[in-house]
Amino acid sequence: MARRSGTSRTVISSVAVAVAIFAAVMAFESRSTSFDEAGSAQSNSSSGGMAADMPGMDMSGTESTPTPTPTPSMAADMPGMDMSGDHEHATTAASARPLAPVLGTFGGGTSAVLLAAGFLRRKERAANQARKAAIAARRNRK
Amino acid sequence: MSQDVLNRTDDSARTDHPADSHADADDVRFALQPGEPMGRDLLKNRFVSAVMRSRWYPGAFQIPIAAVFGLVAYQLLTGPSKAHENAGTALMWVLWWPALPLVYVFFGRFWCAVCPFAAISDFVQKLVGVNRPVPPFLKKYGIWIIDATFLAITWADHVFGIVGSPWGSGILLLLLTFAVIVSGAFFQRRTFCRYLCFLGGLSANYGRTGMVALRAKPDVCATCTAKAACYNGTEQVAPCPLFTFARTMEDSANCNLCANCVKSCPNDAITLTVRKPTKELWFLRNPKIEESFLAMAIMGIVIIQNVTMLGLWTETLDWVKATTGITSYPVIFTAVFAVGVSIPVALLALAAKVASLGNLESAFKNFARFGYALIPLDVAAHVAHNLFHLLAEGKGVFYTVGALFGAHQEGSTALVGNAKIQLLQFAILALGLAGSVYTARRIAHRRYLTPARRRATLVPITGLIGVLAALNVVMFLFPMAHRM
Repeated sequence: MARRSGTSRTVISSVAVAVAIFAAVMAFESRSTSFDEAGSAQSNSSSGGMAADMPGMDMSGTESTPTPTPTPSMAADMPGMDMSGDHEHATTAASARPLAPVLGTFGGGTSAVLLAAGFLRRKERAANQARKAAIAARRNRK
Repeated sequence: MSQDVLNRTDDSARTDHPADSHADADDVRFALQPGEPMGRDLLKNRFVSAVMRSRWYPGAFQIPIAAVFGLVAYQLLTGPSKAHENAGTALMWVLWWPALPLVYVFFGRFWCAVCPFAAISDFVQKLVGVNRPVPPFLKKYGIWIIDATFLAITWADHVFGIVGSPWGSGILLLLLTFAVIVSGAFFQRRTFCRYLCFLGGLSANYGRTGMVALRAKPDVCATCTAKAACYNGTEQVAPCPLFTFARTMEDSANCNLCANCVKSCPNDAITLTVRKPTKELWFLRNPKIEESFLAMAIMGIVIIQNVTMLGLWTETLDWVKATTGITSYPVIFTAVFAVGVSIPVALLALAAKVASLGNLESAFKNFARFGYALIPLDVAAHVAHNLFHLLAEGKGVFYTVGALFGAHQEGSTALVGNAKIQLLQFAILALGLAGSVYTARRIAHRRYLTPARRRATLVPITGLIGVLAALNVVMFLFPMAHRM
């Protein structure tokens, strides 16, 4: 019974930490988004989704298809050779990345795992020590 | 005694006995054959020995690589969204990924010793590691999980965009990091690297062609009283991270040259030798079907990667759209991917079936045994494909990394011309073809006693190698799209 409650405690604490970190990062994200909206007039044409940015998901025939037509020279695609002037698109795409939720999920998940492992290790070490102490006590009694 | 058995089996094989007695004679002879002969021990060289035994090895490599990895991850997640402007994409997909198979050919699985993910796993283990034993299902099915993961990641690359999208690559790194953290937190040693890492599976396969081999001296190990210090480690030295016992080690698939065993062995029984590339494949004793399958799947993946970078691919997509009315790229690609990966597997199965009719072993065993013969061609096709990206886009690495430090340069990203790249690709493919044919020949000669059985095996297998090599040659004849 005690063991069960220990495991439950570990799981509950881990999930709580994960949720807390996720919530904190999401809160930060919503603040920074509202700042973006207020501070700049950037239009977010990709509606926050990744689909248009993903190769293979864009069937409109624009530049972000996964399989650019192979040409012997792709100078326009090379660093410093991009003369299309669509840097604004790059900026928009960068701001459309859901960085905070992703990092929040990653951080939350990682913290939960580390916490759970930490608890388990502590518990197992305590159990080991108790076992050793019991063995030593039995020996002393003999 | 063993020589007597060998003589008897030779005699029985020379006379025309029924098929099953041939098989028995070959089984006995095969079981008695010695393992891979080892060359000169590099650890006798004072410098090499000092490096391998140093407490800074492999950490001295790991630290700068981890720093670069951090930069790559940061760039991928927060840097420019266009692949050709992102230093993370350039470092990861134009420099690291093409260089990786070359590292396998020269140094075996050395990358795994300095891999930043392994460093993360070790760190997490020290911090909170529970050190549970590896679950039995992972030991049994780990390689199949690796096979499936490799295919899934390649599929996801085309459907969701990983290589061509810095954000996609960043997400992949985060997912891998998370998996490594989970494994390091709960399981012993480098469970993830050995049983789950898709790159580890690739490394294990390609590492067999490596020119460096670490082994133990069996005569010294036979008298060892150190309770497997090479496997379990000592108070000062960590145990073998990949769960390999040097004393019984027969291949380099699960040795990353971390040198823990070199440091912990009290008898100096570990040797480090240089050998011919692919030599290990000639002396395989226990071929595994899942590893053969992986070799063929990788061949399929390389073919798919090539096909989707050709102009032909766009035309094929248009044709499929026009004839079937299917416009969904994921649907079309999934179908092509399934066919593309199945082709080499099916061809090997067919060749194994044909060989089994003449060499009296089951098609299953032939599949397992001769899939390894395709590894040299696999490596060559992989290197040749990535050589294009390395040489045609190599300057992009300088441009994008330079841009991080304020140096804005412009110009072509090509390090050498297309003609030279193509020539190099064909030369590498030729080496791979020669390596595969020679490996198949060595395996057949070692396994089968009679010329008839060898011939019956080699004709279909060599034919298969030829077909796959020709397919690669045809694909390299067409101009290929850039990765960035």
